[in-house]
Amino acid sequence: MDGATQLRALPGDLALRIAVEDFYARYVEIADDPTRLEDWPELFTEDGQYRILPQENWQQGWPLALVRAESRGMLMDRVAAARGINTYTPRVMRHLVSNIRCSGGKDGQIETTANFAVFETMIDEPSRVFATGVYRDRLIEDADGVLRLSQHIVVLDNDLVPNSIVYPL
Amino acid sequence: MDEMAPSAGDRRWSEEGYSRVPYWLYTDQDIYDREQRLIFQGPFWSYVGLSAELAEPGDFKRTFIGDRSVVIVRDQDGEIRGFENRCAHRGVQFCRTHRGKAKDFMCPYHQWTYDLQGNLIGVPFRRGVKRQGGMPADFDPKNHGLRKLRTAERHGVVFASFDPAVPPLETYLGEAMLGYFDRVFDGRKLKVLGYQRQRTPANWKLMFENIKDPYHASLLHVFLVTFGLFRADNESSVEMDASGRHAVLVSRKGEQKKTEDLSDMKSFREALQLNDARLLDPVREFPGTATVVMQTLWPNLIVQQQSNTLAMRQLVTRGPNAFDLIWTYFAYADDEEAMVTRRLRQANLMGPAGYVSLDDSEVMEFSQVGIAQAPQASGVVEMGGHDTEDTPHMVTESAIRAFYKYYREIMGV
Repeated sequence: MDGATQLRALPGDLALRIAVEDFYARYVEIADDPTRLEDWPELFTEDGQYRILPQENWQQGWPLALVRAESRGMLMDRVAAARGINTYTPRVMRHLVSNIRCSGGKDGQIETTANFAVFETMIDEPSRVFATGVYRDRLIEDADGVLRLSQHIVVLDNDLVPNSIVYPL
Repeated sequence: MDEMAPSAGDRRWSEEGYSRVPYWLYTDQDIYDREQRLIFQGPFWSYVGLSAELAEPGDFKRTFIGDRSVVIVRDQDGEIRGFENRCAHRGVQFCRTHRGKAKDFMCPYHQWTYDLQGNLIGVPFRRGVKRQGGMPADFDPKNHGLRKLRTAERHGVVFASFDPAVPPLETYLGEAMLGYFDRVFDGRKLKVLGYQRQRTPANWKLMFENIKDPYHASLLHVFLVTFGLFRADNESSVEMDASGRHAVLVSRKGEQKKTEDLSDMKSFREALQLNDARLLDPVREFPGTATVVMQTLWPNLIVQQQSNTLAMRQLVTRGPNAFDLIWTYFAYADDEEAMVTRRLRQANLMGPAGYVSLDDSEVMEFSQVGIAQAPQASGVVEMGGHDTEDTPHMVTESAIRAFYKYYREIMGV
């Protein structure tokens, strides 16, 4: 069976796996911490692509996203929106990322997929599941040696969003 | 028999008329039920889709009128048909996907089968098995089709109605609204770019009112005010049809500059600059000087043209305390790639994560929780006076008053 686990064929790229898992741990720490919003664009390359796609747009190949950023600058504009352009109920977001898969691709690019669940907590309400889905990402070792996202595609399981998306997914 | 008028007892509209909106209108189940019957199943045209979504015979789309699931489909003759998504046998909602292609529709439960016009064409064991059982001799499939909708199509936009007495679409929209409608839907083929769907914990009327309320736009929306996309000191107007049920807010983009009127617009941020200006790179594409036209078409549609972002916003009611907004973003089939990219970038302004729309979704939730704590109180809708006239400016709530004037006639409240 393709992709089946074999003890003798332990991944030779163990360092890569650890680096990728460490990257997502860091991504989640920053994404869930409103005091560190400004650090979030730094997790992307200068021309990093970020999309949040409803399941149906992904399935149908429709290009429309819920959030579309095509550069670190556009991510910084998203941060500015959460910092004072938009009006919203304060909330706490909590990401869980698991089942990370990665494979070294061409040109030092690392293709990764991971499952995610994001919980949302707001005043007067119990915590709820805000979104679940799959990351379909590309990581790259940037010029300064730091691992960054050149592509972060967030594919939601659902089409229906619980009212509003304020913070990074 | 009609149930007791909901205006009985303590549910009385204020003496001030439609410049007050009683809060029980947003919370009462009996008002909601009455709206479903008199408005969403009444003689009005509800938006259900774009022709581009039903390109070929057999293409179908599952959608909603009010809170009722309906299916629209292009039949073998190329006509668009519509019917309620509810089997005539035992009420099963037989269609459970957003879209697809079908030769016919079969209910999974007892496999009653309907053609693309909604006629019943198959009942298993109708003649019984081994001469036993079966439907009675007088069972006539013609009497057991799906509940059919009237449908109408104009320039690629599809509407439907449960009520056979609905007037022709063009009459229904009226000349002025039709003019604005045809400005965007000028007969060019459309192309779907994708959907956004969100559930907002607020009454559906708050969404409809929001797009009839230019007063808030200059105050709540930092993004609109700062970048001059929609601002009280821009040249603008509010126009309605003769009944007051439909409306448009029309405006022309201004500059990111300070004016004397800005002292009231605390949302203006002179220093705010986009880090990546590609987000907001609008080009003029429609005749005339308007750069934004937001049209509300009774009872369930908002046509959005803000700069180069085009979308149908379809309201789906989910009980008194929630609604879904389904956004269908589109381009013209002959758009150049750069224009499509521009539309996709500007879509960041709209939807559940929109730089502009997010404010509205959140504030509607604030409204609903505030309203729910005092159903006997009323909202004050007096900006711009007490009447329901068109205005050559946006410092008014006249379109909200006009909406409620008409709403009261239809609802008898």
